[in-house]
Amino acid sequence: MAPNTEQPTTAAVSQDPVPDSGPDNPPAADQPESVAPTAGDILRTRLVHIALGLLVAAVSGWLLYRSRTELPVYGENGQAGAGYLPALLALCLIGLGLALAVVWGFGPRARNGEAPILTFDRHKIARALGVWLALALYAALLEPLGFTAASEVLMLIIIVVVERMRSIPMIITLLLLPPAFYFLFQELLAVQLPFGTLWY
Amino acid sequence: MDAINGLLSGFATAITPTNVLWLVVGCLMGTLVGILPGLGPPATISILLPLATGFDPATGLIMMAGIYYGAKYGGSTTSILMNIPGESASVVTCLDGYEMAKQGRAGKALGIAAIASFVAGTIGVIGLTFLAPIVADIAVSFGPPEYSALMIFALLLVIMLAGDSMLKGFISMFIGLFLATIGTDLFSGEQRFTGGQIELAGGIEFIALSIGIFAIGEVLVNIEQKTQKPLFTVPSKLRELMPSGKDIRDSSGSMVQGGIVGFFIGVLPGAGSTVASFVSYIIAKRTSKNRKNFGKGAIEGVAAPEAANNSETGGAMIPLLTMGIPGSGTGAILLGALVLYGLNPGPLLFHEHSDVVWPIIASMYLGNIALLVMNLPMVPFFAKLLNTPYQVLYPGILLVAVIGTFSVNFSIFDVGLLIVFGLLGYVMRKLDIPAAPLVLAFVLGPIAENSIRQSLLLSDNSPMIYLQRPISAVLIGLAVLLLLVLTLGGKSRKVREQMIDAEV
Repeated sequence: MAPNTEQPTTAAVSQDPVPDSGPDNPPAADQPESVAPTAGDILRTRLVHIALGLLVAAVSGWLLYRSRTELPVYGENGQAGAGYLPALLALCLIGLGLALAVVWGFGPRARNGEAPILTFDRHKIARALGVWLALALYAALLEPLGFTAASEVLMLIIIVVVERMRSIPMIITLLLLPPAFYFLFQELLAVQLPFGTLWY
Repeated sequence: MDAINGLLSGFATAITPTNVLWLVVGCLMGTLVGILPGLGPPATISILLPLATGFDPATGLIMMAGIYYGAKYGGSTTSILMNIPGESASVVTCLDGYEMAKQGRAGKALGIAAIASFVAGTIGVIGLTFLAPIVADIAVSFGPPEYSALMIFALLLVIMLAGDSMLKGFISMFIGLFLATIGTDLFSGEQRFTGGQIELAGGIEFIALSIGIFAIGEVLVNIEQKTQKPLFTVPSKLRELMPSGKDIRDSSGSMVQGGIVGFFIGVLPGAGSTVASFVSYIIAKRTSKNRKNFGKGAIEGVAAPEAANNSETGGAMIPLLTMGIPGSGTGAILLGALVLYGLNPGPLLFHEHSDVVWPIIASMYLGNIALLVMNLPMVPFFAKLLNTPYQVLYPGILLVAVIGTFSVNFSIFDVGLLIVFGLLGYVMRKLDIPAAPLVLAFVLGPIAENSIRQSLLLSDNSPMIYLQRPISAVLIGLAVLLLLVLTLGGKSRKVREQMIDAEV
């Protein structure tokens, strides 16, 4: 496991390769421009990876404890029991988590800032988490309100809080999405959707 | 020659106006229903089965072939356009298909998926026609040790989807394997990490996990930046929406390779289209001149898994028709349909009911043609969907994701899991942890665990059973070789690159 072979693979990484423009490969809209990482970015990336490694190891340690105490690791005849594989996997994850922390703590590439740098923008993360929270609220409302009403609540949160939309056609389109989906799936395709307990 | 005569007579029976009409209807309905995530081919065929059973056996089974192929293609559409894998076999298509969509090449990806499906479907049907007896004999010799060796090999292949970050790839894979252990242990009946939740007794629902990690995670990353523009660039010219001659030439090798690999893996009951699609993807990645672009929008990265996913059907029909062993959920439903029609799959099926079997095989080929003819013209329409402003598109994706997840078990709990895995997918993207190893390990984990534990029961807990059986010994040898290549290959490549840099 060569730590120094790590390369960026997602858009979250500031060194993410941007595809060449061309007729077959036009640039995607709103692509972020790459900015040279600062010393603070490098340190933050290292700390995040060290924390991630330790977190993986700690959670895995807890899972190992639960596997050993709650599940039989071996069966009556010495065969592998229900806890055997979870314990084995938790052990591997402890090792991998610690390895990640060590590599990012002491690895030469991480210390010299040659490893890929992660970017964290507080406002962007807050926006994403806002939508996630709206989605979590939506999931909680599905059972009492049913699909259409709960979906309208989600759409309203997106329109008013997340996007602060002013375009009337867009607002109407979003508000019409839930009934349109209800008609398509529930009525046309006979796919059962949550009905809502409050309406009974 | 018997096979050729049988196939020709099958075509003669299958190509009637009525059969062709229902084949086209089946393809259309399969595509439409298959687009909905969660409703993969097995669920789609189940829903539409009552329609098909109203006809005579040949017509009904021909319609089901159309539904099956249509559903498979429908699944790849959402994978490419929205990063929503409708079923486990479509996970690999997301890797490059969605990247192509982000680069404004969704039409090309959808087009190549249809063409690859057609080419590989043809390979699958040819294999089914001429190799059925030979391949069936090999498949019978696959017991638990061979399966576990195959799964160990497959799990090591999963790591090759990790990009260059091997450590994070391994962490992702092991998390996927651990998540797969949640639920009831099939050997002892013990509940593992269910927390007393009855909904978790059957394990975590795959659709909730995959849609959460892929689709919701992607939406959360995309909406970080507020924009009123469409997120994706879609070319306005029709010519640019379809795959060019160069695209087809570039991916032809991957299509043929995927077709052959998919067919042989399809023959093995239980291995299924997921293993077929990602083994084929890995082979394409390792053998392509364009390997650096895999995972970043390589057209071969769409052609290979889609081809394997499709030709797997031909392979899966061999154990189903010759031995009555369904290799997948869809196979089990097709088996039910055959029995419903009074046909008993087995060695004598080809002799006793050749009037039905050969039309089924012929209809699989016709299904491929119908799918290509119907779906290629629809490609620009699907690709243009991405022209929608993202502010409107992402709420739609969220609703489709919730409907798709809920519709599998009609469970709000699964929707909750979807939200949780959505956050996990977002965090993984932010921390640059590859998601594909987690999702694929989640699919392969239970198959691997069951076959390993069965093997150890057979051998009185002796791991030597893997070396005593030739097929498993070869597979274990290949796995060891692969592990060496994975750990040492990277270092040797780095040394080679450093030497080249030094020379420059």
